[in-house]
This record gives sequence, structure tokens and C-alpha cells, in this order.
Amino acid sequence: MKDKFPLEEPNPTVPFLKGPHLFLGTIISEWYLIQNMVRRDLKGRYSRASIGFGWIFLEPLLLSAVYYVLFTIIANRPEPNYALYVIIGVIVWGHFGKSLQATITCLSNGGNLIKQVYFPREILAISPVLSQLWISVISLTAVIPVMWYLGVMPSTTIWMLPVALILTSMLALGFGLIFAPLNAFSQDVSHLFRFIIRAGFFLSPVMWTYEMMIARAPDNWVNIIMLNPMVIPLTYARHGLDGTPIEFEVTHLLYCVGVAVLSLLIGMAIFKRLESKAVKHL
Amino acid sequence: MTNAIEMSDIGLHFPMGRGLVSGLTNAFRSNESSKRRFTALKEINLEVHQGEVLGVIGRNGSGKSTLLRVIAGIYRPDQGSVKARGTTSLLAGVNVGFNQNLTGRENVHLYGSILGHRKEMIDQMMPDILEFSEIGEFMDQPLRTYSSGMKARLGIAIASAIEPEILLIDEVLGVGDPQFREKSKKRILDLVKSTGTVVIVSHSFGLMKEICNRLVLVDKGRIICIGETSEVIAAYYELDK
Repeated sequence: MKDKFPLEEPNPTVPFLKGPHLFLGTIISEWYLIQNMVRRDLKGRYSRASIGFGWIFLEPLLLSAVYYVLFTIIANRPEPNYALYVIIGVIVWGHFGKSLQATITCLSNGGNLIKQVYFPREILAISPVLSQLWISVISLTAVIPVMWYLGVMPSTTIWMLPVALILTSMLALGFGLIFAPLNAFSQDVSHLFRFIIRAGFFLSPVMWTYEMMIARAPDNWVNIIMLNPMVIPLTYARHGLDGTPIEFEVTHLLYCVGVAVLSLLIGMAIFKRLESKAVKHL
Repeated sequence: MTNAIEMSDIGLHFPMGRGLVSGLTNAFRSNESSKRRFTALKEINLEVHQGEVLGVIGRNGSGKSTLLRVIAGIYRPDQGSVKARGTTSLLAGVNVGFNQNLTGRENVHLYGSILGHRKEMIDQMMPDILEFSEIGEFMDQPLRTYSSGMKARLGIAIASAIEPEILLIDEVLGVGDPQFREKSKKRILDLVKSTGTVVIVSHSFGLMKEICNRLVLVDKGRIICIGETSEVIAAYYELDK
């Protein structure tokens, strides 16, 4: 009876190529733990405020109002639906930035727990992205009053909205996983990314739109701008809600999906490979 | 005799440099000797038999806790190999997984799932945890309203409600008021008796003599000796000289 358990290494080295497979397996087998971690994140953030979860709704609304006023003065009201585009842009970009930052700092902030209990560390990376996804989906209800005011109705293009959120989450998690172990080596990485996320706000279609860019940018610039994999998710989210169709060049679309999938696979492999080394730096 | 834990020629080094470059070089060339690292464990050869209670003693900073963390899988050794039979569970710093804004009950589910339990198991453990921790109606209040003693009791109650094949204990007996300390000591002793194999780190030699079959003396990351409790404790006092 005692021999039913074989002698095993408690935390074996994982072959690089098997990383993604094991990573996904852990997500399924530890789903209950992930749920509890997400609940901890959400309750920790909002339960002590009297408006509580209302902040999820209010924050993007207030932020967008400021940007809208500012940019209508500067850009002189470029499009009738500009207010709607700004608020969607702010929410989707916020989703990307916060998920990315949370994943990058997951090891360096989880030090206490990591050093006391052994549990699969990928839980620490995946749960903040899921919490943020939950928050972002709730925030999106803030677009309803804006849409009502502008008289915009969603149509069959609504499928683009979940696709946009999934692509955004994949990109944030993928890049986050690649850099999370490096951030445990040196926190310079998260400082660098804080800057990248701020700069990306302006380099991505948050305050401007894909259509403005196509209309104004010289042809050879379009390809450079489309190297930013967030252009397509942001634009998809906007057209998903305002109900108008959008066509991208196939190469641009393939590039965006390719970056999302590859970054996620490489991220999972790197994270699984380096996490046990990174833990020693905590 | 079968072994529950086998450690052969374990070496573990902590990097000292804080830079990105040194971190990466350490990650990819761990076997190279480097001046910029701290050797926490060196040439550790240890076999823990099935069903025994093994005590680890040594000075502060000698590597006792690190040794337990290697067995638990928290640190992967740079050299050598460690193998364990069945699930291991480390009792250390008892309320690390807690969140101030969750209720006691939610914290039981959170910490329990971090320790690797399924939902049904945690539901099963709940009455026992309630009774042992003496939290009462505070169970459905946020943890921030708890006194530090209550938090510690809840932590011990959850951590000791487990039944792993191998139990690793790192100095968790010193919390709460004297009555609770006595109670948690008894609880851990019961756990020690019901668990197959136990490795315990403690500075309380009285306790160690009482419960351990063998002791290991660790100093500066190396094993100095393994043997009968009284011999090893005598060897501990020889370290000063």
C-alpha cells in the first residue's frame, strides 16, 4: 500500500517545448484555485470603497470624458461617433496595459506566497489577467449611455468585440509571461514596461482611429503602424459595438493573430522554463 | 526499508547580483562556479525513511528552512536530485495566503486551494476548522476585523487539516496564547502520528527529543551529522567550539 506513490521530483525541470502543454493543463486542473485568486483580486480592490464595483463603471467613463473634451478641442470633433470610439479605446487599452503590468509583476509581487507554499506559479500569472478581463467586461457597460446618446446600435458585427478582448488578453498574457521571470531578476523590466504602456496609449488607436490613420498616413507608414498588434483588436472592438463593418488586409490580420498566438506559446514555454530560477531572486 | 525522500548530492545557490544580465547568465549557466552567488546548500545527501519523524536542527541561517523548501519543490536544486514519494505539504508562515478583505470562510477556501485541495475537500474540512480555530461567528466577517491571534489560529487550523503523505513543518508552533499553543502542539503531534513521514525544523530540542526518530545537524549549508537525537544535540553544542 505504501508503494502506491513512486519516487518523484517535486518540481521537475520542464522541456522547453512541453511548457505550453503543461501550462494549459495546470489551468484546467487548478481552475478552482484560479477562481479563488480572482475573487481575492476583485474583492481586495473594490470591497472597501462605498461605491465599490461602481468604480469599474465610473473610471473609464470619467477618464473618457476628460480625453473627449480635450481632444475635441484639439482635433475639432473629427467624427460623429468620436466619443464612443474614445471610451472603447480607453477601456480596451486599459485592459491591455493593466493585464500586461499585472502579469509582468506576478512573480516579483508574489514573493511571500511563493516562498511559503509550493503551487504551480502559472496561477499567479493567469489569475490577474482573468480578474482584469472580468473588470473590463463590466467597464464596457459604460459605453451603453454613450451609445444611447449617439443613437448607435450594435449589429451582427458584435462578434468582433469578444474576439478583440480575447486577442488583447492573449497579447498581454503572452508578453507578460515572457518578461515576468526577467522582472524577478531585475525590476527595471516593469519600469520599462510602464513607459511602454504609456507610450503605446498614443501609438495605438485609442485617441485616434484606424480610419483616420488610413486617410492621413502615407502608404508606406501604414505597414509600420500595423506592426503594433493592438491596432486590430482596438478597431475590432469599436466596429463590434457601432455595428459598421471593417476590412483589414489579410496580411495585417494574420500578423496580429500570429503575434498573439506565438507570444502566448513562447511566453508559456519561457515562463515554465525560467520560473524556478527566477524564484531564487525573490 | 523504503525511502520516502531521497536527496542526493544537492547543491543550491542563490544569486547575489541584482541585474538583469547576471540573472540571465545565472539562469542559463547554473553549473558554472561564480563568486557572485551564495551557496545555501552543498553536498546534501539525505534519505528519509517511510514512516519516520526526522528532525532538522542548526543555527539561524544554516540552511534548515531552505532544505525543507527544496523537498517541497519551492526551490529546484542546482545540482543533484531530490525525489519524494507522494504529496508533500509544508507548514510554514501560516497566514501568507490570506487576504484582509475576504471573510474567514472565503480565506479558508483560498488558502486551502493554494495548498492544493479541491472544493469538496475544503467543504468537508470546514466544520473541523471552525471548531479548532474557535473563530465562531467571526467566520463570515472580513479578515481585517480579526485579531492577530485569530488569524494565526485560522492559519494553523487550515494548514493542519491536511493529510499529506509527507509533512514538512517549519517552526509554526509559536503562535497564539499559551492555551492555543498547547492545543496546536497537540494537533501537530496528532498530525505527526497520523502522517506517514515527517520532517520537522525546530529550535525546541525538548520537542525534538520527544517526537523524532533521528536528527540531522545542518551547518553552513552542509550536513554535519545524522543520528540518534541525543548524539546530534550534543554535536550541536560542539559547533560553538
